Amino acid sequence: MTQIEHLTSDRLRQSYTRIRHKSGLTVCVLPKRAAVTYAVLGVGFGANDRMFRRTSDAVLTPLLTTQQLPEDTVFVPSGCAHFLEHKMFAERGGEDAIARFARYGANADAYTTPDLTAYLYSTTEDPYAPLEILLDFVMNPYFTAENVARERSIIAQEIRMYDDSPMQTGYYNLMEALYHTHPIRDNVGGTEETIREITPDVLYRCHAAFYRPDNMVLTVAGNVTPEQVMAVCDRCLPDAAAPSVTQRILLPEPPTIVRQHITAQAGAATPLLYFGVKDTHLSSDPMQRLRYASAVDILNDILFCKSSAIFADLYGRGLINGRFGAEYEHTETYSYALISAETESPDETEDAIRSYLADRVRLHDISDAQFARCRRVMYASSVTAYESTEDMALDCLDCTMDGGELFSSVDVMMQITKDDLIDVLDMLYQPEHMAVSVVTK
Amino acid sequence: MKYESCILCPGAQLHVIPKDTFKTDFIMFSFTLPLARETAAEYALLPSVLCRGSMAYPTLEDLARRLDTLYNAGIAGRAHKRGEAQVVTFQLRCLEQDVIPPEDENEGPLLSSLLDTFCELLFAPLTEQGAFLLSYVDGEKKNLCEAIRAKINNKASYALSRLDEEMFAEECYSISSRGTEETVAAVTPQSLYRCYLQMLREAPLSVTYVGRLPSDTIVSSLARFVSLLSAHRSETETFSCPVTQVVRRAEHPVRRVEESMDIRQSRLCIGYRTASVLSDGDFYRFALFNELLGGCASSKLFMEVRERRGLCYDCASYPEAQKGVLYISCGIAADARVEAENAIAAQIQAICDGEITEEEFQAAKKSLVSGYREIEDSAAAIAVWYENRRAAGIDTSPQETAEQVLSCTREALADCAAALTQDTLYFLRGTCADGGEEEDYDDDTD
Repeated sequence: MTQIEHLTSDRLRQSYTRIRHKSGLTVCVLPKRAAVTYAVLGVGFGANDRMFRRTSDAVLTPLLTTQQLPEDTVFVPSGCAHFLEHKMFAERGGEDAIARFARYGANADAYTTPDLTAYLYSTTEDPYAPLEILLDFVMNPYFTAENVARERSIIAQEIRMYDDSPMQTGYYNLMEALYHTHPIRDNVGGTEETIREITPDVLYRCHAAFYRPDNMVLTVAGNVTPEQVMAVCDRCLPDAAAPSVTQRILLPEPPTIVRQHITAQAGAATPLLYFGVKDTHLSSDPMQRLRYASAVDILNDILFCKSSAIFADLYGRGLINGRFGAEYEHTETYSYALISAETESPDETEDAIRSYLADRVRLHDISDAQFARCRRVMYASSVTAYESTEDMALDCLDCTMDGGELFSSVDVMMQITKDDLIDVLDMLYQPEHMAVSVVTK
Repeated sequence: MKYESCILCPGAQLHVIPKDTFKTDFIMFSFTLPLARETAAEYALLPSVLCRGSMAYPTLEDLARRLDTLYNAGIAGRAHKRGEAQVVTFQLRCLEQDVIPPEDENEGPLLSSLLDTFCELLFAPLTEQGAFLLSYVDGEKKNLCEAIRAKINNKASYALSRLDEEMFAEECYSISSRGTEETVAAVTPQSLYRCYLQMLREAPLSVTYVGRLPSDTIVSSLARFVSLLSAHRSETETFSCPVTQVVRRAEHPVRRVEESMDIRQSRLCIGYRTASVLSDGDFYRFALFNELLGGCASSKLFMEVRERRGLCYDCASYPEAQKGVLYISCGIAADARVEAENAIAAQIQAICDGEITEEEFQAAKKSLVSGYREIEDSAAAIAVWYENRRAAGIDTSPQETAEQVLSCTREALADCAAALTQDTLYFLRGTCADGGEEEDYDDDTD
């Protein structure tokens, strides 16, 4: 049975419809007057999914953390989700799905993250014909030894291109310093060695395990109606959800970091500093994750934005340039804060960040004025967040795939108090969880 | 689209583009200056030095706090190249008045407050002895030098900038809109202040507003700005825009430049003269030719060089509409260079010979038209679109251009291909085939 919910935000003067289609697919339709309609189909299969097993358990256990791997564990080479993303565009008869989209004036693309694979298109014409193509090509794989071999050489070039990026080197070195076993350590695209292990058989097995409507979310923003989107889903998707489930397997990750420092010589024009903090406060409850992550986002804005004391201090001393900022990732299985800077003096900058954070934890000195300004910034971002159909569709995809809901993320953001910030400040910024990766010339 | 324009003061025009689909007001100030080796570094520095400190907001922190208080309003200044002009722009953005929470409404119109803040930055900078503060100028010089050096972090754009330097060695187009490390180092607070005054005095200014407000409201919001600017301007000034020298055909055999670097992927960049510029009025034909050749994912280059031959991950073409240049760029294995070059040449020849399938032709049209329609969804894109066209002496809207594209013929595309002449080829040879960066682990791990 298809289930329908209407969600409204008074604050944003916006509403959307969330549908659980009878095939198991979750569909979010966000009508908006705009030139561009933007649609994304997200699959719960990302670079982190490196081990799984098929199970017929009635209860879905999405994640198993164990050292004793079940006998029927399937091992996935690093870079597989990304390889699959590339290769899904190949179609029987040698055609490329990109060309099918182009026929209707739609621009198709795809990307892979540690947590998901997303297929998308944007169009200023009829939005429904390309939607059929989207649902069709993602559900119907066509892999041959020959087309997989050719893709391998294309992906090898992509890997080399990123290998030549000092930013990428700095980021992955930091992940290796923070994580012992978690696959977030590994390059999303894999390496030239691991992609040699990827064969049509590996791709077919991963597709069968993860590319299932109940493991996918579709979001469409723009000139669309829920009824017409549903009509396309009814035509293209199965009438009922398939019974078997796929269980992801992850090795246990110790709470400690691996090492405090890592330095690479990788041709950076000015040394790059990546200051990471491993966050061990993980939760399987999406709402709890949302509250916690919202508080950290606000906290980081106060701590590290252009009006922060540390930015003024480091910039004023000529230690950093404008390329300085903090970001935060918070998922069910990994979480970290990352402060990045370009700096001629990585050691001095690192020390400054460490003592700044230690002082904030000791003093708990977030002023009312800072908090009030930050709330204005958050309010403005929430009002303007939905100016573009692309942002709407992508934000809604991320929230929904993470088990949440688009508008609740805005509401939660506005409910955060100063005390919440103090709490997460103490929880997150613990010195023993800090690691630094530096990339030099 | 029809929009209103008026003269604010000598050499300054206002354009008000009505748009009611955004929850923000957007206003862009563009000063057009000649692109010259002697002043490029100064104008590149000017926006950041002006934002660094003014009498009202002496530090970056003061300015950032002010903008946060104005509901995350933005003032983004930068200098870029438009053909052989250097354009200093400031883009201002703030929430529309009617989405401000009622309890804060007594703070006055947000757009006026933002324009006041901008006036403080532009007209009342911090000075000492009749010039900018030495410490601020030095700080921004250091940052700009780092940004210039950071080009090398992205090998694709680094290779394209090297191609520019080689291809336009004899033309002022080779001047980078950021200057060079040497010219930046030579800037003094005095030389920068002279350029600043010169910009206020002589540079043609266009102000473009995109949003819901009527033009008389914008004119009155700009009253203080206009009176401050007028103090620098004289009726007798000519306010002329620099003219870009267009070379429509390469007049020499192809220049080939090769350099090596210890990287894993090689970059092949080719520069062509196109015989087609925006001011010709029919540039849409060339834009469509580019879309077909390498402008979208169903283009000939993407399909042939990447999908059929598997030579690269990225292979695309980029047109430059003011100078009349086409760039092709791809990342390949070093030993695939000849095959890639031949495959690229063959695709251009195919268009020249009219080998354009109906499917390719329609896909290119749809992709380009879609790109033009998308402009409607971004205030900045709308403002930049009209500004570039005004500078080229034309006034077609994205919608009108889309109509022109749809009526374009295959013959027009073959003409564009035939008129293309290869000028310079730059190859950045990656000499580190095995890869693997060197790492050393410090011993202070736990």
